[in-house]
Amino acid sequence: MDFSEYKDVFAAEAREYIQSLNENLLEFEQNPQDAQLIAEMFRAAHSLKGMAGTMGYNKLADLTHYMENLLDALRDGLLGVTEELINTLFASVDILEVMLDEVIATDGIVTDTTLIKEQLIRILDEDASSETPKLSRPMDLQQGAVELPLNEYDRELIKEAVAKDFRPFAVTIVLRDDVLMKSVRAYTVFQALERLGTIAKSVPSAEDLDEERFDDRFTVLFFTHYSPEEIRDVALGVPEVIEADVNDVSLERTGPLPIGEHTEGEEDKTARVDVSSLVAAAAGKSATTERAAERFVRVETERLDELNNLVGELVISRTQVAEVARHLDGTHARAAVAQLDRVTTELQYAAMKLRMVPVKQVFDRFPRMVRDLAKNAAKTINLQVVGEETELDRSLMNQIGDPLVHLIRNSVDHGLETAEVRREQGKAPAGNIRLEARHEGSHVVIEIADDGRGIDPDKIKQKAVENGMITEEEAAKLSDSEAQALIFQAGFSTTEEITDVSGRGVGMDAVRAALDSMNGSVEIESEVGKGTTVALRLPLTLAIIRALLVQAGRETCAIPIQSVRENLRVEPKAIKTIHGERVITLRNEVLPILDLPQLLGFEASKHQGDLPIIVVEGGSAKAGLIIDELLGQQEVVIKSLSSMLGDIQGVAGATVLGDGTVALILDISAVLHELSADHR
Amino acid sequence: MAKRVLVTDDTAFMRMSLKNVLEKNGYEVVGEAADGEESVELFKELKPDVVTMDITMPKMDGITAIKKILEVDPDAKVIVCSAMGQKPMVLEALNAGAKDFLVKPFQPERIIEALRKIAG
Repeated sequence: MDFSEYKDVFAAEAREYIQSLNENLLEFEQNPQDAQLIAEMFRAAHSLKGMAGTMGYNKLADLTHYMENLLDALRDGLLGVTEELINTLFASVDILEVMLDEVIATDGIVTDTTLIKEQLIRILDEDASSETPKLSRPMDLQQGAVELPLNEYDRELIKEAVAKDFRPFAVTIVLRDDVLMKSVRAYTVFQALERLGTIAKSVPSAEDLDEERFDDRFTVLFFTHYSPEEIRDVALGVPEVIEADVNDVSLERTGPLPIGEHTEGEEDKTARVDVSSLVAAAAGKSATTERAAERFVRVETERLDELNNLVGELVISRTQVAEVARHLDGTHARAAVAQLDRVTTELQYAAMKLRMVPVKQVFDRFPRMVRDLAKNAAKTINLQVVGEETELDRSLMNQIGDPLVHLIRNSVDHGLETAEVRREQGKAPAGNIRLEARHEGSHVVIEIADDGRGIDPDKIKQKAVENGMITEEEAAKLSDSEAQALIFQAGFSTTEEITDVSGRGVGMDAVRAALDSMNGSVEIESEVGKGTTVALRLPLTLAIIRALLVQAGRETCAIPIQSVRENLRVEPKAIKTIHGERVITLRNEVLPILDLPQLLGFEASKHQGDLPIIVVEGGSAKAGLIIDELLGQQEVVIKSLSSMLGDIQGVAGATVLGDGTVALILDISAVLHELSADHR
Repeated sequence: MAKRVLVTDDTAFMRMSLKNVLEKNGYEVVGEAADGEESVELFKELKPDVVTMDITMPKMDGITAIKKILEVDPDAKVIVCSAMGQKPMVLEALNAGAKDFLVKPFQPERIIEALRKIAG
């Protein structure tokens, strides 16, 4: 049977289940007593099995089947929780993910699952044969006959029912053990029985039935005028029902389980609902899921990009129309243009919002990664994730992953100490990493903070001098934070010992380069012995930036505001020439000065009196740009040049201004990079 | 007399395999509909004993079709067919009046059990 049309849905849903397995495993490792987690993992494995089976991905279904067996034994308390067991489950989840990627890419699976299956079977066999159950088994998953415990409220209901000539029954329904969509099956049984009477209570609860937290049977307290035979016939008339056991309930015999020994809270909840809400609960939960599902549509990302491009074009046309309309007479034209203006702006923001996705998408993989890295490094590490709902432009999201992986690896491998070292220093043996995302103005800040050993500025200085990056005297003048910032320079490394994942300092320049290319920035704050915090600052979106507009020769240029440090007016005589290079001294800092018009191939700017200078910074270089005129600040829509002109060094793109003129958007780090390259 | 069944599914392959199973087990497939609209029309025309109804179909989905069919005949016996993971839709179909549900991939034995219990 062909299910290829469901493949995308399958892939997306399977991915969610795998992620949930990962998350629950992580939590389960911390709380091995949590039966709820086992149940959730079991359900995830079970759902995956069913989905994969339907799609014909038998290897995937097969592995989940073995996982299911193990989880089943676990929830039955037949297995002890060992590190080996947890690691095996983690490995299984990894292999599931690999297989999922394979079926997405090629529809076939080449991964060999023999070993992992053997491992799963071995754990199951070894442990299941040991005698004493190590985990107590949760009541609501109990196999065999489901008892019907009655509480005071139930007794009241029964009395009322009897007073109205109803007969109270305990009806136990057994479904065939390979029942499909068993929650729905239970629901159809409810529907069928409700035609004969009212269901006062269900064990497991209606909620548990809806969540498929039951084996093959459930019992309901049922009030009716019909005979046991009639009830039985109706119940057996429902497909997949293989047994229907109808017993009288009397108030003298309250069932073998005294109230309270059952999971108390659950019982009370079930007891207090009336019939209609009980059934509603069975359906209502799914109604909510359904509504949630309806609120989302999966759309190909290319379509969103296309929409955004068109909106960008529209914004430009709007600006041109507005310009033309200014020369027209009549309020009608102006009102129409004003309306167009408003709608376009709103459309622009709406389209922009479509590009936003929660950082959770990227953050999700880190708990697992930290766990594995910590295991490798023999460290205990707590990862705290904050603000994962913060939204970021999708294209940025794709680029932020690698730098984050790098920074977290640095924290695990080099920032955090081993438990012994931490104890010696009077710290808690477990290291902490906090990963936080939050909004700050028009930026998103992502922070990676650890409470490890921190970065020693003296070591950094020493290394920088050794590498010939700075001289001894320069080193002596650097403040601690300036020294720490050196690790972002290309070629810097204080690696003394390289682990299999990262060398300390190696790649911090790559992190910086990545952030530069996203129009973002990176800052580091570190205190020896206390820890290190790295803050990544990102624009909300790449499509629109705030820029400073300047006139340089005949060109209008836009300088992204992130690159701008300050805006000065300098007397011509303040500019000195050192080694053939023009510089000014600004607050004890020697700043190279560049003539922007000249850089762009125009005549050098000729100013009477003070020179307007924009101090810019990018790619760890800083300089002052002499400009002809400062025009102002505004939001500009970035249009890529690459399709027509290819990449031009120093130019990030172009934008169209209100009067229809094109302004070049400068890529400051590239401009400054070229400059420093020229001088070397 | 053999029970008369109207099969509704947008894929010809699915209709064919259902028909195959049904006819082998003594049912008569009196009509095949490729979408909800066609199913409602054929229902009025053929008055079948049972209708099998796919959920996701072009033109008119299965749930809407179930409602329309029940408007025509409140006692109509419709069995809804769904894929794994379509639980909310199956519940909606049952609430709309479907008598039972089948989950794809179909297993002949389950199809027949459902048909027998629903249609008699």
